[in-house]
Amino acid sequence: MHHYADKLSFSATKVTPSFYYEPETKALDISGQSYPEDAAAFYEPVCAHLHELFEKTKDNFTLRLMLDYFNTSSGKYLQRILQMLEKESQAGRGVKVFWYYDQKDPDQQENGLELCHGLSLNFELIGVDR
Amino acid sequence: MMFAAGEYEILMRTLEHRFRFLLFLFLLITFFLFVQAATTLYFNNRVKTKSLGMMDVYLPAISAVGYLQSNVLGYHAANLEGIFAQSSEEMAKKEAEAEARLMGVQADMQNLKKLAHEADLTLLFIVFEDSLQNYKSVMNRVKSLLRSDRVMEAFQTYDQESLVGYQNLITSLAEIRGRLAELSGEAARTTTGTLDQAQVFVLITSAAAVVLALLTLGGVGVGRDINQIVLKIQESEAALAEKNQQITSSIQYAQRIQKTVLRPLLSSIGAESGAWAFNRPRDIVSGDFYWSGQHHGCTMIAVVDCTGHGVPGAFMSLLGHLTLEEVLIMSAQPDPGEMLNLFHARISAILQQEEPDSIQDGMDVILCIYEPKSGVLRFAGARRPLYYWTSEAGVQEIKGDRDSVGGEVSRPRKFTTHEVKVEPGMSFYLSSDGLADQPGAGDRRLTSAGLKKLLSEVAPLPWPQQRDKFAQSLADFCGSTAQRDDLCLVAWQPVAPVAKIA
Repeated sequence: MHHYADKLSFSATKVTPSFYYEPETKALDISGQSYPEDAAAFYEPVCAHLHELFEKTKDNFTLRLMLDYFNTSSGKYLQRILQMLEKESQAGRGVKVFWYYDQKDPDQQENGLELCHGLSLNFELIGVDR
Repeated sequence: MMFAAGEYEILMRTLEHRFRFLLFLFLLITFFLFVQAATTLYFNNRVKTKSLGMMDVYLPAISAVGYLQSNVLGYHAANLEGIFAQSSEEMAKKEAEAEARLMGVQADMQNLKKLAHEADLTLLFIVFEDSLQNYKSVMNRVKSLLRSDRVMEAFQTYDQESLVGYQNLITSLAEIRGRLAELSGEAARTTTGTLDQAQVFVLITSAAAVVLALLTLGGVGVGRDINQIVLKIQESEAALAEKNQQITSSIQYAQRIQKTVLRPLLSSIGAESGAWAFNRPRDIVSGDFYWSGQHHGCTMIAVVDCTGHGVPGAFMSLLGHLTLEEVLIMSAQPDPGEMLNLFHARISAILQQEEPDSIQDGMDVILCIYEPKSGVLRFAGARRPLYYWTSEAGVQEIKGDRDSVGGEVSRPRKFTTHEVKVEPGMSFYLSSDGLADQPGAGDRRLTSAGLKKLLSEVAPLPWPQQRDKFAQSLADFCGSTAQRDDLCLVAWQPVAPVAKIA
């Protein structure tokens, strides 16, 4: 669905992360920092597009998160996205989530653990060298 | 006058379109000018070249006509002298002279014929040739009459015809000269005038084009628009400044409310235990707050980090503060885990978080309850750890649970209560997440490890110096980097029970 490659792909700003949806591999990459003043204004449309994508396709889905920093408000929306994925996964869709963190930064690892906490998701933490 | 949201944008876009249109038209006009000027110059140059070329024809032609005329005169004079000659000898001499002059006339005519063709004088030359033939035949008739001694007839013919023939000759020559003078004058005017004319043409055209462009595009109108826009921007800048001032004042007043509600908190700890708080809101009012209370003979301290900062954060902080008070009253046992469970239930109920599409805001909390009797400090953390310091072990960290208070209601909360035995000299540090996340030079976060290192430098210091040292070290770390979130740290040194001497 190339249509969603447009809707779910945009570059980062100082306070919002970049989104990149790869239609061939059905993978969404979110990377950067996230601390917009109005997290709802940024994440609501993204959630709507994801919801639409899930309604229209039955494909497997991969989410790769590479977030250096996100504030609590953004965290709430990331959680919401993960809950959406959990629901999809329970409905039979193949869903994989990868959390990339700097091996030298235990906070970033902890953020990943906090995000996936309590969710039944194929969630993998991958430590990388920066 | 004020701008509604988006009106600036529309105005600026309109302006941009106008400028783009102006630019396009300017280019079009410039191109038109260029083509015009180039064509004119090319055309003028051709005319000039042609005129200069023609001068090469006219000037020799004029002098050739001069020679022709003098030869015609000489020819006529010789003829006359021959006619009126006293002797046949003289007559023959003059006839030879006339013959020579006629040869000259014919040679001149031969020269002129080429030029006459190029100068478009052929018709005039035909007229001249006819007149010459006419004159010659008259003269021949006169001469033959003289030879046959019909003198009277000869003079009659001369009187009646040869003078007319001569007049015709001279007239047609004058016509040729006049025409040549006319043509050469024109050519001369053209050659000297062409460049000036071209320049004047280009100048006039460009001036006309500029005026045309200004008038067509309503340049005056755009200027007026710009003035109006500048005026409007100035007006709305002033209005914005005023609005900003109003909002700031209003938030500053809100800060007083927040401070009033939060101020007495540390005083309730009790004078005998040391405590200090570092509370630095990012935007006047804060989403972070500290809370303390006494209950069942226990001292309680909490640091709460609400989702968001600024005004929405401050709303949440007041809600959190009041709810904590409520939770305190509702709690039968001073158990921090149980209290956080209750805290979560109340917050999610107040924010109606069971409803779909409700706001998912919540709070990260670290809550400590100290029982002086037993010297045991119990605590529970909602996504916040507890740091404590002893001179032997330095800064230690006990992690809290990964759930927050409020938000995400699908899971029931079961916060863990941890216990720490308080030793004399032990100090505890409760913080919001803003500290570890605060970026410094190179946008590198302080991190939890960095915060622990900072605390390990602060904690050994005498109690009254700790706060200043902490503030200074944090400022050093931040450098010129702006504060990203609200920052809150509470340091607490509960009074450890004194071992009773039996």
